[in-house]
Amino acid sequence: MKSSHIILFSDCIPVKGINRSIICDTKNNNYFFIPNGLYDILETYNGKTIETIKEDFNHEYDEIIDEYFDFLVENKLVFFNANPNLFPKIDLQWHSPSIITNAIIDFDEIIHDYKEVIKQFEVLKCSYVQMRFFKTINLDFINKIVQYLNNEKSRIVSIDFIIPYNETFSIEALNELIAQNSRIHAVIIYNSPITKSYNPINENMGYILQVERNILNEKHCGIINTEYFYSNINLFSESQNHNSCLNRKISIDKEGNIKNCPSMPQNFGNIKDTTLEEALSHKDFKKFWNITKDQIDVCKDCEFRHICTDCRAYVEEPENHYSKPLKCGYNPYTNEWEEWSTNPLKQKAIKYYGMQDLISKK
Amino acid sequence: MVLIYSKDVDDFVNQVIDCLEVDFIRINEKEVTSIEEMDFSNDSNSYLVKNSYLSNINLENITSAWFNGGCILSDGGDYENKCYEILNDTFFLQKTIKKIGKRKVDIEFNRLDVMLEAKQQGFKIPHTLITGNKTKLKDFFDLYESKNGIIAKRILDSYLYEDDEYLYNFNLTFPITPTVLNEVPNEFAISLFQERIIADFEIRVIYVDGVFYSACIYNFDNTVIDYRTKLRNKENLRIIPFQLPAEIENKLDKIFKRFNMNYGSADLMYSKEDYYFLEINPTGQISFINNACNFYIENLLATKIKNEQ
Repeated sequence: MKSSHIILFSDCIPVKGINRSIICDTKNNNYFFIPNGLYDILETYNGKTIETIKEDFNHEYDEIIDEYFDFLVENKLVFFNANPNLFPKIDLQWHSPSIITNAIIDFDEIIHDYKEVIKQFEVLKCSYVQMRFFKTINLDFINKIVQYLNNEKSRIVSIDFIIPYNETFSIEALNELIAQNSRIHAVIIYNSPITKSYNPINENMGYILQVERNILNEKHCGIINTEYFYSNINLFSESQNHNSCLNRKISIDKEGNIKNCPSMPQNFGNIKDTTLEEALSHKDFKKFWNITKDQIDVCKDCEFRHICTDCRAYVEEPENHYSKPLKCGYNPYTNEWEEWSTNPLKQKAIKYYGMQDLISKK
Repeated sequence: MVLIYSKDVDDFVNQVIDCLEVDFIRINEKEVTSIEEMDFSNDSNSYLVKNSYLSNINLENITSAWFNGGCILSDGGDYENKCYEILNDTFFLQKTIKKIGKRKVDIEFNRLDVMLEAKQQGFKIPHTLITGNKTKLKDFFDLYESKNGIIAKRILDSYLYEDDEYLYNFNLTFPITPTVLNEVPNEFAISLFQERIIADFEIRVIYVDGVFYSACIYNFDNTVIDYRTKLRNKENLRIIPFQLPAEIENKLDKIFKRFNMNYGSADLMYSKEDYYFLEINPTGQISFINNACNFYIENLLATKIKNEQ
């Protein structure tokens, strides 16, 4: 076998960083670190035999090359076949028939007219919705929203509820609610006494998660962390030409203001007197949609850039649209993670966004 | 207006509908569609239906149709369902509109017919025995015992068989082991057996009106005979785009055309540079291939049924 041509599975896509590379396994939501030397070998020699590679390096690195390919074989990232031309690269095109693919609705004091908003999602072909509650709500309210979706035969296939912990909540009742409503994708209960994830419901399509972390307002969003990495072909291909957080997103903040993201300052009218379509037609609404990680300072040198969700609301230099996300503690030049909030270089931006309180409470 | 015939749950149908941007009516398997009237005079035809979403839809006005499985369901009993099925099929069969896919009644083939056509086109086929006799099965078993063994496959598209006690589902291909062979009675219902091909990988081909999308289904676990049984065990499986050689595409094109199909899928096996033909299907789960390979076949399909040509 080993004498045959070695082929990288085309759903395993290498991404080169300044210091090291990763292979994104877009099928298994996984990634593997590889040295940049191996990245270069894969770029040049994918579909060749290992013998050819060794010869080209004058047999000076045979051992290292063997080690590299043993690693790839072991992790099922490559296979052998005599006809490499039968295996084209995966096309990184990205299309969506939806004007808006995902939406966030924040609730605090004001209870927005969610029925009206849900009606408008039909026109925009929006199927993924997240509702965040900064004030205690009861299960009845969630139930009412979900029943409305059912009655209207809504196109929404996935809805997340992010709610504060409340002693009266019973996990059994939530379980029951999710089991009966396959549209519910997740219920995340923050400010919980414990951090705990429960067994998925509806054939893994719905889940409950309790987290100790508290969420007071939209300023808690925008954290960049390996937990939020997502290696799949949809995000990978979207990130080639679009922003991996803001593209085709619409939000309604706690005041009812229509925004690209609730954490951003610019609003495009209030849901009370403006339709989502009207807001979208504003020339500035989409101004962040096509800012890619390849254009952003530091991110463009980072090996994680196509599996990471971006944040344009909180950045290191608030006046610069191409500045690195503020809440990212990763340094692609040293490959080290550190706590972002204590980084002295970030203090100015933290003050600018008024996040001092939020950080000291951590 | 576009007519779409579908199973109740089909992600691919939903994706196509999202790309359509024109009026459509979808007839689902388990959702009632009522025929309000079929009115044929010397001057005109009209065929009105309604479902829980739409009413007063005149199917005389449909400009294209996509048949992707499913059937029409009345709110009456079996008799009325049968009437509905026949009336509906008759109506669409005589209409000269753009049609993608076929209604079940309009497809007349079986495993043998398709396999012989593939052989005619120059494909390799696995050695196949059709019999209901244990001695003949035993000989066939012995012939391949020292090689890769033999498997059993269904002959017809229907895959359910009922006796007094049980309802059997033989949708999946399974191996004939010595245990199975032992328990087989001397005479049994006519069945199809094949030598088992150990493939380098399988190929799933999706065919839309002359356009091919092919995927290599690479299985790390060679003990699995039918990958559908292990779809949930994702770790051992990869699905990646595959470039079928033009010569193989031409052969497949001839097979699809021979059976008057402009939409469907084909299963091949690739073993030591040979392409073995397994089967073709008029419908099939294509969204897992479409999504894994980032093909966006929904765009092509939507364009085809919108352009009505």
